[in-house]
Amino acid sequence: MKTFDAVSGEKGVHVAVANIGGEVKDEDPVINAKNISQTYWGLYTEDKDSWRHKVDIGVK
Amino acid sequence: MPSNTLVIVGAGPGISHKTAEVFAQKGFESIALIARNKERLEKQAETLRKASSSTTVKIYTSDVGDDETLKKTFQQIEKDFGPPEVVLFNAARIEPSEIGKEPASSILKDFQIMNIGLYVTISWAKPLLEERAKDRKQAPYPCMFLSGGAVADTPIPPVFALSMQKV
Repeated sequence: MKTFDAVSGEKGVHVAVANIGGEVKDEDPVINAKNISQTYWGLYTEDKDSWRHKVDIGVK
Repeated sequence: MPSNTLVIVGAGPGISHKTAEVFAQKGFESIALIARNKERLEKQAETLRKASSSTTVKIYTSDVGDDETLKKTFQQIEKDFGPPEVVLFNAARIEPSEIGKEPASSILKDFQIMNIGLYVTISWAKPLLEERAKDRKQAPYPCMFLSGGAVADTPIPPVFALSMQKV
């Protein structure tokens, strides 16, 4: 993915990894499907100068 | 602007289902779901269609670790929907595994999914996403996402095989 980012990032493609810190459970306050899905939407709408390429979700 | 398609490689009932829901509700016109289990895909597609009646949802049965089938699947998706706007690589085998007891064949299978499957996905998506990005002057931009895992750095022994799949 990092190579993809290195090659295509400058061509305007936003490459990013959701770094999920544990088992995905509905009951978890952070590591739940809803939160992760909203993170993906947030990544999609990000301005180029704020692009994140690795987002930690519930990483200790 | 040409319509927006979300392609999910390894569509399941958790992260990817919620993600498809969010993108559909936010206006994505098309969603392509790729997974092995046809029945489960059909159920997921039905739920998505109910959540967003203006979104076209299509399912594609493929083992993400089977690169020939996966390649053909992507070609079909491109025929059906045109180039994607967002590709989410979500496939993983999450099953209990104990270090020392897991057979090499299943580790190899995981490699097929996570490395070859991912490579085939990127190979297909790269030129299409770049083309879409060409004249884009502001957000949103075409994207490729990976559901990755911190388990690569902080292992969880009962699912040790997963750490070999994750970056």
